[in-house]
Amino acid sequence: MNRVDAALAAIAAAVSGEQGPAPRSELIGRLERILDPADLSSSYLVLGMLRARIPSPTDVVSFGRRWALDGLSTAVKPELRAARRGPLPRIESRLLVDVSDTSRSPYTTGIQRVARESIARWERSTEIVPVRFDRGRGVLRTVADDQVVLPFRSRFVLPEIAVERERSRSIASIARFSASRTMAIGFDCIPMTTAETCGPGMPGEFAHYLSTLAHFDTVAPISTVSGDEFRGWRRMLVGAGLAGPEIVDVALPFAVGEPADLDVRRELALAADEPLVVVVGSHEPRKNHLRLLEACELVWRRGRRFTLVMVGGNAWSTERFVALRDRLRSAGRAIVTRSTATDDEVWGLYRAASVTAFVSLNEGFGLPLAESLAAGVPAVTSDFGSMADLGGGRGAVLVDPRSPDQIADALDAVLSDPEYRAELAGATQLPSRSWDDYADDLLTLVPSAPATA
Amino acid sequence: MTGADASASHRALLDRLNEVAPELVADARRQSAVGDVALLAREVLTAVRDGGELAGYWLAYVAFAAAFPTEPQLDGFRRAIHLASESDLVTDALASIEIAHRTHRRSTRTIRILRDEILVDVGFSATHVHNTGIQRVVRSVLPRWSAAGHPFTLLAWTADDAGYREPNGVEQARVLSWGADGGAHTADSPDDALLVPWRSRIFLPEVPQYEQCRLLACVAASGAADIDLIGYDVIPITSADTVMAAESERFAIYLDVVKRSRAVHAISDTVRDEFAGFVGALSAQGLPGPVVNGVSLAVDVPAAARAVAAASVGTAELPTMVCLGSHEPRKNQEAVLFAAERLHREGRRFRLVFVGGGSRRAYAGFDRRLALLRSRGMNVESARRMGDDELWALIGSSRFSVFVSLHEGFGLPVAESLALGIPVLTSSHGSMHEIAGHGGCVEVDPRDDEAILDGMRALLTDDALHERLASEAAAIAPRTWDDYARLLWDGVSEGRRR
Repeated sequence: MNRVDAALAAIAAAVSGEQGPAPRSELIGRLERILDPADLSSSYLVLGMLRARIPSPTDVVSFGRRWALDGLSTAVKPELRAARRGPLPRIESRLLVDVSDTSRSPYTTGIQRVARESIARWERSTEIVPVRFDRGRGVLRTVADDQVVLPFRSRFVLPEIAVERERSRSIASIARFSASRTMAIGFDCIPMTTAETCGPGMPGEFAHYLSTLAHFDTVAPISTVSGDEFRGWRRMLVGAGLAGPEIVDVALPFAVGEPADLDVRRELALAADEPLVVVVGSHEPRKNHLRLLEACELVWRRGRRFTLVMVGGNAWSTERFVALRDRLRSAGRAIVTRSTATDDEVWGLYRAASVTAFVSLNEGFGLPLAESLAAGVPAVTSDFGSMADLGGGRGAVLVDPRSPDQIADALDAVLSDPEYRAELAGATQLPSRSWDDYADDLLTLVPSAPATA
Repeated sequence: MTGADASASHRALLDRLNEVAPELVADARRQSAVGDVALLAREVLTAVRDGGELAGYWLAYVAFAAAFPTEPQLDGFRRAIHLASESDLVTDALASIEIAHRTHRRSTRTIRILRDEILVDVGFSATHVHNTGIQRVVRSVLPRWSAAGHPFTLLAWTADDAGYREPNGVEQARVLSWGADGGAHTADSPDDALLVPWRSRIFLPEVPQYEQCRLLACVAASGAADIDLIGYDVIPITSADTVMAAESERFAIYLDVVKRSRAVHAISDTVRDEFAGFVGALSAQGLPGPVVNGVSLAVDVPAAARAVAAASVGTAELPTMVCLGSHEPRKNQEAVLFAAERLHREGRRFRLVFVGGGSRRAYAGFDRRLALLRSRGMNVESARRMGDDELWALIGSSRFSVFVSLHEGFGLPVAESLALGIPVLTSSHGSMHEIAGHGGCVEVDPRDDEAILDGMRALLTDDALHERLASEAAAIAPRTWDDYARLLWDGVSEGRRR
């Protein structure tokens, strides 16, 4: 059987269970009997199988119209030449999890951490099919064996942010036309609400990703504050006539790292009694590290002695940060920067710190803050959003992050007053919540599979 | 730099410092520094530092740089002053102002403070003859404000986006007394002063350009002036799949202005709800966001349009459907054509005319398909350009209008068709649904091809329905531009001294 006929037969088998080879005209007749072109999942399925890729939303709609006007055998004609080549996709109706970035990248960002921890736990209790997009081709492959798949009447979970155009468009097609149930983790809407701090290109691509999420069944934000962003965005959909997904907050856990034996002081050549101010996070503008440096300088000028340790990679628009850091250093200020660090090193630093500082302008969650408090170390953090939610009353000092003077006062107070520091450290009680809890809660939101026809 | 240039720059700096000093420096200290640029600079910076108000830093920056700052630029300037020793105050402050500002922008520029005024940014409408959507709002509202004697000042941008300037005579006329002006290119002149909003209200009836948005966000964030704006829609965000990525990107930066603004005056209740949703998302960053008001746009057509349309009623040989709007995916013309093709195959007799421009790339394929369909006996055509009289006559002679867009801030073609007395097939959500609430429309889900087909068939064949809708349309009271301009002024001037 040639590839076109095999594709047509596979569609018939998947939809009605009707098996077996037949001449092309009979196969097409079979599909016309069992599929309705007004239901665009028919168009998605036929195009997806013939093209061996996820068809774009525009193509699905226009193919459906050609089919309705002229019949299936006429509509498929322009597709046949291309359809003779390429692997035949497997029509996949199980629980698919799109881990395109997580499977590709050796690094662990906060987002990939969430995806990895969740999937590892889901795999113990349920059957899942991790998949990834072939960059730029609109082809979805299984991670395990590289098999090309076409989701149909499946469950599709997106635990990452899809800001690559082709991928985001393909996922929109799946959400709209594959008759699947869809769920995504919502991290934040920062590129929409705080675009001025983003790298160029991000806000535009993020808006497209949001227009894809608009067709999902469920989005699960990682905190109630992030949930407020997504609920606000969902209300914005009214003009487009879209209901948008159901928004259900599922708070991230507060992970406590393994106690590290690592002596970070020796590694950084620091005296045993040198007070440390620890800052974890990349130097992107939203993290507000410029004002933080300024605040530290104000504290140093008051005669306070401490070493500032910053762990985090470079990002965009860091020229001013680098210039100020170098200037302060050459004036003799103790500033240690590390672009990367192992988990052990980071936990070792938290535990060695007098105080940590996390004065971001907008966060969906604020992992470094949670980690600091989990390690029992007081933090200076922003007086709004997820940071105030997490840190307020739990050992964090809340400040206006746009005021270097306030940041400086808070750091100074913790550094200079052991009793105050002890009081804060004693208050660092986080709700007990594990990755198991998180993964379980999330899984209950994955819709049950839609009934097959 | 030659000696003459240097001394011209020096004089200009002194002039600029003298312009801002009365706003920042106590009289006694200022008078002792008049005429001495180094002394005056020190007095201004000391006063700003001691005052601690971000607005003061903003005004001082403008005086030193002869340009508005972005937020990172202003923060860098503030930090330099905050950390500078007494002896290095002036040199550190000057060094923090980016080199780019001192080279490509004009160091000899003078500045003029506009204090306690209502300022209207017409940067696009003043410099372009383009006249659709937003420019029509600008050119309808501002002449009425002017005629009513409301005090306001028009602003345009310098070519290098250093800041505001005064629009010249041609540009003022383009906004206040619009008529075809030949489209002469206009730009700023070298002698233009930079106009500096100070404790004023800036009103944005347009969506400014990318770079301008970054400067305006800083104006509002610093508190130098507050900002009101007209909210037209949030299409580049929530319907990002129908626009270019660059358009979404620019709009996201515009939202940075929106979130620091005082008030959004939305052109429909739907758009009000869209912006209210955005404001709801701001708690994550500790911002209250603007007040969002709904001030529904005018629905009015010129008397001449009504006359032309009325005269052409009944002149069409075939029942005509007209589909108005620029050619783009969001307007859903493909769905309209699909429904029409099916009606044609059902044996219905009609004529369908698409009217609207757009990029040639967007409509070239579509127009080829229309040609093919014509060769098969279907009466369908497109007009990419059409004069006003011809358009009004076409609408007047049509049986109904089809406008089933996926997303609109207002849906002007729906309102205008109704104002000219013809029924409309339109979308059952958002602003189009709002307009349809006044009568004269059949509403359908624009993402449902069958519903569009059924709606078109009903309007084409059901004479009783058509007659009822036509009489509903005729009974709709116009909302005039006078009303809109008045309500908008009330909103924009709220809380300002008269």
